[in-house]
This record gives sequence, structure tokens and C-alpha cells, in this order.
Amino acid sequence: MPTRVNFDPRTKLIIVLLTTLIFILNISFMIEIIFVIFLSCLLMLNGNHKLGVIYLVIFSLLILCNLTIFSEINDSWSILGSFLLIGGRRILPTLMAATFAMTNTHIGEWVASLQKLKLPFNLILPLVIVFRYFPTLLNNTKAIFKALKFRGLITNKFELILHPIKGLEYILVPILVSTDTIATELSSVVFIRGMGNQMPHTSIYANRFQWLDWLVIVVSVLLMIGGIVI
Amino acid sequence: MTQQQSKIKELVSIGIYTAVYFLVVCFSTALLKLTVPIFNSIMIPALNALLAGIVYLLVLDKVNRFGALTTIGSVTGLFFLITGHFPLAFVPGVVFSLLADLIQYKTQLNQKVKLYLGYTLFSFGLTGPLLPLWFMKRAYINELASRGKSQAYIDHVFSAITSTSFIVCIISILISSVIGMMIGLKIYRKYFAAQEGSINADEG
Amino acid sequence: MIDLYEVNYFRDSNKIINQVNLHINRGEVVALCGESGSGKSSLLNVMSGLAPGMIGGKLTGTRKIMGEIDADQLFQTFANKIGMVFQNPDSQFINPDVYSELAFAMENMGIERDQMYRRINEMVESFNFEELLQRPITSLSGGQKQLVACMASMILDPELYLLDEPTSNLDEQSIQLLSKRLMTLKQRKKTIVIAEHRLDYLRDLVDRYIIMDHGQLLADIPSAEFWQHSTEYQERYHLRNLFKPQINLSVAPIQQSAENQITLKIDELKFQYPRTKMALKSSQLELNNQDVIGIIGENGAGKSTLLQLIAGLLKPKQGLFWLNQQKLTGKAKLKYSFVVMQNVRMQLFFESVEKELGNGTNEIKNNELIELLSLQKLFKRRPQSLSGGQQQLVAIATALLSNKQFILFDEPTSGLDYETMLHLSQIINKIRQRKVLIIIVSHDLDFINMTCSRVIEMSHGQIKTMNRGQAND
Repeated sequence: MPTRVNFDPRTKLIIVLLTTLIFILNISFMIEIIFVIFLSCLLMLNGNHKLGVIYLVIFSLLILCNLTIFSEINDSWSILGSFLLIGGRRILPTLMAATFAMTNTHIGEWVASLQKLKLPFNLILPLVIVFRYFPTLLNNTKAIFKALKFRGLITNKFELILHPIKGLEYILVPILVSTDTIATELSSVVFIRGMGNQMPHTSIYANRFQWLDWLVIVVSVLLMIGGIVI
Repeated sequence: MTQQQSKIKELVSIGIYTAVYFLVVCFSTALLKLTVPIFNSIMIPALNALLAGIVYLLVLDKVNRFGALTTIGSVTGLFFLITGHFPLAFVPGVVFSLLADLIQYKTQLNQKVKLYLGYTLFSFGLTGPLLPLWFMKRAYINELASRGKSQAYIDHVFSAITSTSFIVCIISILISSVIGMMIGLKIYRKYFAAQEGSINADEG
Repeated sequence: MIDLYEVNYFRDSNKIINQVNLHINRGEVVALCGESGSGKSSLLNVMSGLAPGMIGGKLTGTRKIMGEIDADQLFQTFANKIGMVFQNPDSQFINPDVYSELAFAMENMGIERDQMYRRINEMVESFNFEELLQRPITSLSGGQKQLVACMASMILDPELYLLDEPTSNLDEQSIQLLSKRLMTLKQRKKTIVIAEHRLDYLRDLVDRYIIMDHGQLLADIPSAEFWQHSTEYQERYHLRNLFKPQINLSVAPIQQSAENQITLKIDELKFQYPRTKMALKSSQLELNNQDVIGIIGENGAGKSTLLQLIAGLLKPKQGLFWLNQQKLTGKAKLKYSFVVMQNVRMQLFFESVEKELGNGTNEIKNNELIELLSLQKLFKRRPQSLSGGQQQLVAIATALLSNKQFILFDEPTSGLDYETMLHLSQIINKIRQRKVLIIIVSHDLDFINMTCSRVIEMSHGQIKTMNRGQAND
């Protein structure tokens, strides 16, 4: 098991935001390459060794295709193709940052960080519930598809594409009629575990800024400034 | 009911409806991925507006308080932010859902107008993830320019895409919001009305 | 600790708790007995303040919990004072993994981190849960989830425990661990109220047995007295499961007419669970509709998987299915099968029972069946608004009306009260004369005993035993 660094969720959040900024700003090609390599290093430090490499490969392939296949941009096909390639290349860092943020951080760590950032309880609780309930929802959807299948109402994807509204009605109605029960059950658990308590909460996860967090933030800010200046 | 309990229940319900709303977003996205090979993200808000009417109605029905829609919009945005669906998506999500909330609870409009207008505005909240396309375009223009293409040529390339697709996108959201709300009301009457009944669909 | 005076609780114009006067002292361990639906859970919810607060309804009378009448005051730091476990293992957690769920209540109460580590370690040790600590809760079995809920309720060491059938999904070993833990709590003078229909493991633990029926307290019996005259009380109050439940089938196989015969043969079945090394294997299995077949076995034994393989909802790695010598393809299995799911609400799609039965149309051909199941009066109702028992009935009728030959039940009794369960058993007894093969997956041995004529026991993906009545076949 290779070792990995436990980044503070706030660092991850900052990286996501900075990546967006870099995406919006017009940075030079050179800085773009450095930044992608930087992100893939972060991914590896975060424990996603495979993904870090895969993203790098995709990035290189995108550049390569753009330089070879679409070296001449004349007809509408090459315009479309090169647009997708360049667009895809530009959006890749945001995807990398998202992977960096979403993996190897517990929901509990995120909640603790959002609490530290003084996000109101009115937002944190619904967000926690979304993360809790969404997997259940996917399971329910699977169960519904099974029932639709043996009742012969919707038996394959093709029928779903032909009748999307009917299909969604079949899926949503059983789910929506049971939301009341689920809401009661989950609120009861939230309540008995004392989440509404007004006193300051603690967290089992020791989210602390370490020197590496600072380093990562400083480097990415420098890269961004460099991108603007150069 | 104690205050703490009622507040928790309200927030949990909001969380649950947000999750259901996501499910619809995922459904629309998957549907478009299966049918339209490229640029399908432009159509996501419209298709979603067509399908999510019933969820919107049930939020009004079950939570029925100023702030519920805004919370859903913000949580959706926050989710976009953390999952890296383009962090700026947060902004339209919050702004448009807040507008929908204002229309729904702070105006004296006719019930029907409120419903349709509110829902249409709410549907625009999903345009956030489209913003990258615009920035992608800018990056592309730079690329063309750096390859020595003339400004005239660049304008020519984008003449069709820019304004037309923008207008088509907006109009499609408008139309499908209205149709989506009609479908939502139909489903609501069929399965939920009278059982709950805080939205009077017929009068409205 | 708990004082209830003249408490009534109404919900949807039903009186769920009826004139209850109850006093429980500090350090007492009290068992609430009675059938499901007798009001045990509601009474616990009244004690915890979740009723009417969270659940809705109306409460009259005086409720004094830990000397406090004002709910707002009491519940500000609920988690510190009261440990609660609910019945449904699937909706008792908020966090994705065991570790953060155990920490959750402590975090909310502002406990220091070192203390949290210490308490979690101590708790998982006493429940032998170390290996599962980092697992996602959704990947756990129902029993394991229930244990997580128990641990989470105890982690803040509250004074009062309200437990609602904590053992309903537990295997024997876990029941022993839980009962040991409860014993130490009792020695430390904690107050415990436990609603339970399995009484065997409570024998040394409980001080008083309170019998409930239709929301009323029928009797309040001290432990020594209760066990001295246990058979008498068992008969008088229809108590089930005074002792460990055993297989004792009370239904006999029937002779089917030649045209109604169904034999399902499954040869060389193998199914590989995705992402694990687990596999389900069965070399030969013959199921015949002279029997109603029950499938039992511990959590994760492969019962539901077998059901879904028969229904064609899962694809086996290998295996041949024969229906009366005719080979079944995956599509044919789907065509012949109907699964009545544990969560039956997820399979009702239409706006009226009539349309549901007609699969989307208002044409129903078989009126005799409708009469048999007495569904006529429900025709105009919305299926979604029916009670759990009625919903199952509608699902069964839908299956029969669409000429399905295999009707497969996945844990049909979860969430049903005793009378509805009896009714379901009778209905199955009525419809088994038809051309259907009925297979029931259940962990409720009482239900199996009164419904099935043959039992298949599964363990670790294998068929362990097959029984008719008492004798192995």
C-alpha cells in the first residue's frame, strides 16, 4: 500500500476554485501544461495513482491529436473536431480538480470543514441528507426498473428513450409517495443523534492545515499569477 | 412540536427533494447522452425542465415556505461545486432559485402565473454547467488567433453557433418549462392532489 | 424516569395509544410485549418525544420524561440523555461509514477527539466489530446495520434507553453480545425500555413485562411471576416466541390436478456476485407447486439472489431452468415471474387499484379472483395510499391476473402487523390451488411455519437442507 497524504478539504476546495479561475482566465499554453502536471501530482499524492497517470495520458493525446489531425482548420468538420479537442483539453483540469476533491475525503471531513467555514446549518443539513439519500434513491430506482421489467411496462432502454415522460412518471411516483416516510425516519435519526444541538460541534477528523496544504495553495496561486503575467 | 424538531424535519425534507431533483437531472443527462452524441449539455436544462415539474410542485406542497427553493438551488450548486461540475454553476443555481422563491412567496400574482413563472425561473438555475461552453469557445478563438487566422474568419466560424444557439437554448427552456409544468400538474392531480392539496391546480 | 398519566395519542383519527398510565423508575428494565401493531413502537415514540413532534398526530395527557415536562428543554441535548434504536435497519444512519456514524452523535455533543477515539474503540471491541469499522454502512447486512444503531445509541452513555425490536435482524451470536452489553448497562443502573416479540434472550435482563394490545396496557407482570406462569400468560395474551423459534411447518403438500402442475427444475446453477469472491451454487433443485416453498437462512446467504435468478432479474453465470420439461430462457423467466418486493410501494405505478390490476387499462377479466381477494371495494382508491397489507394484496392480484406462474415473495412480513400477516398467510393458502408456484423468502419462522409446506435453508450461497414438515427429504 503506497502512502498518501491526507489533504485538508479546504485545500481541496481552494484548488477547485483556483482551477476554475485558471479555466476562465486566458493562460498561456506553457502554464497550462505545468498546471496539469501539478494537478496530476496532487492526485497521486492523494492516493489516485492510476487516475493521475490516465489524466496525463489523455491530456497528451488531446494535444497530439490537435497538432496532427487538425493541423489545418478549414472545413466545418475540422472546426467541430478541433473545437471539441481544445474544449476538452481546457475542461480537463476542472475534472482533475473535482476528482482530487471527491476522492479520499470522508463526507464527515467535508461537513467539518464546511462548519469551520461557517456555512449555515440550513445548508449543511440538506447537503448531508443529499449524500445520505441519493444512494438509496439509486437503489430504489433499480428496484423500480426490475418491477417494470417483469410487469412488461418498460423492458429495455429503447422503450425508455421512446417514452421518457411516461418512464419518468413510473420512476418518480413510487419514489415521491414514499418521501414523507423517509423524511420522518431520517429526521428522527438526525434528531436522536443530536445534530440540531446549538453548542459547537467537534469532529473526529483532525482537519488541520499542514505545511503541504500551504505549499500546494501557494504553488497554485503562483501558477495562476504566472499564467496571467506571461 | 418543538422548534428544533420542526426545523430538522423541514431541512431533511428539502435535502430529500434535492436528491430527487438530482435524480431527474441525472435521468435527463443520461437520456441525452444516449441519444445526442455531442453538445448534449446545451439541452440538459430544457429536457430537465420538461421532466422535473412534479418535483417542483411537491416541494411547494410539502415544504411550502419561503427559502425552500433557494435552499434547493444552493445545495444543488454546492453539490456542483464539490463534484467539480464547474464551480461557477453555483451562481445561477442560487440566483434563479431565489427569484423563483420571491415570485412564489413575495408577490401577489395570480396562482397560475406564479407557478409557471416561478418554475421557468427555477429551470434556468441549471444553466450553470453550460457556462464552460462559453469559456471553451473563448479558448478556441485564442487558439485560432494564435494560428494566424483572421478575425473575419473567426467571426465567420462562430456566426452560426453564438447567437442562434444562445437564443434556441433560452427559448427551449421557456417552452419546456411551461409544458413541463403542465405535465407536472397532470401527474400531481392524478396521484397527489386532494391527498395533500395545498396547491389548488384547478383554480390556479 | 418515565411518568405517563392518562396519555392518549391520535394519528389520522385513529387512537393509537389509549389511556396509558405508566411509571418506570430509574434503573428498571421493562419489556413491552404484544403483536406488531399493538402500539409498542408508538409508546416508545411518545416516551422519546418523537411523537407527536416528528411523526405528527396529537397527544393528550401528561408526559414527564426524566422529570421534565417541557419538550424543548428536554430535547435540546437529546443524544446525551436518551439512546434510541428503531426497528428499520435501513433508515437508522446518516453517515456513509460505520466509523463516522459512531462518531456522529459525539461530534454533535462537542466531545473531545481523544475521548471519541477511546469510546469508539471500546464500543467496537465489545461488539466484535473491529473489522467492519471502515466499511460503508450500505454494504452491511440488516443485522450488522442494527448493531451499528445499537452501538451509536450507547456511545454517549445516556441514562435512558428506548429500544424498538433491536434483535429483529440479528443472528444468535449478535443477540448474545447485545444481551451481555445490556446486562452491564442494567448493573450500572441505566433505565431500559425494550419493545420486543422475542422474549427468550430477555429472561435474566428484564424486571417487568408490560403487555400491550390495541394501544392499551393489558398487564404489568414482574419477571419472576411472568416466567413462573409463562405458559399461562403465553396463552392468555397470545404471546409468540417465548422461546427460540424453530421450524415446525403446519401446512401439508396438496395434490395438484394434472393441468395445474408446475415443476421448476434448476440444474447446475452458478452465480458470481460482482466485485466479491462470493458465489451462489446449486447443482440440482426441483420445485413443485404441490408445495408452498419457504427459503430461509442467515443474512447474505443468497436467498434474495436465488429469487432474482428464478425471476430472470439476475443473469446466472451458468445454469439451466426447466418449466415442466420446457427450457426457460431469460426472457421467459421474466414473463412467467412476479416478485412481490420487500418494499412493495416501489412496484405500484398507477392512479387507481383498478388500473393497477389491469396493468394500465381498466379491463379486468377475472372477477372471481377479485372476489376471492375481496378487492372490489378498493377499485377506485390510489394504490399508493393503501396500507402495507393491502398493497401486497394488490400486487398478488396483479400477478395472478397477468397469468404469472411463479409468484416470488421477498420478506413479505416486514412491516406487517400480526393480523395482516395471518391474513396474508390465508390468502396464500387460497391461491395455491391455482396454477402458480409460490416461493417465499422470509426470516420470520412463524410465518413460514403457518404458510409453507416445504423449507429450503440456505447458507453461504449453498442450499444446506430441504425439509418437509419435520423430516428431511
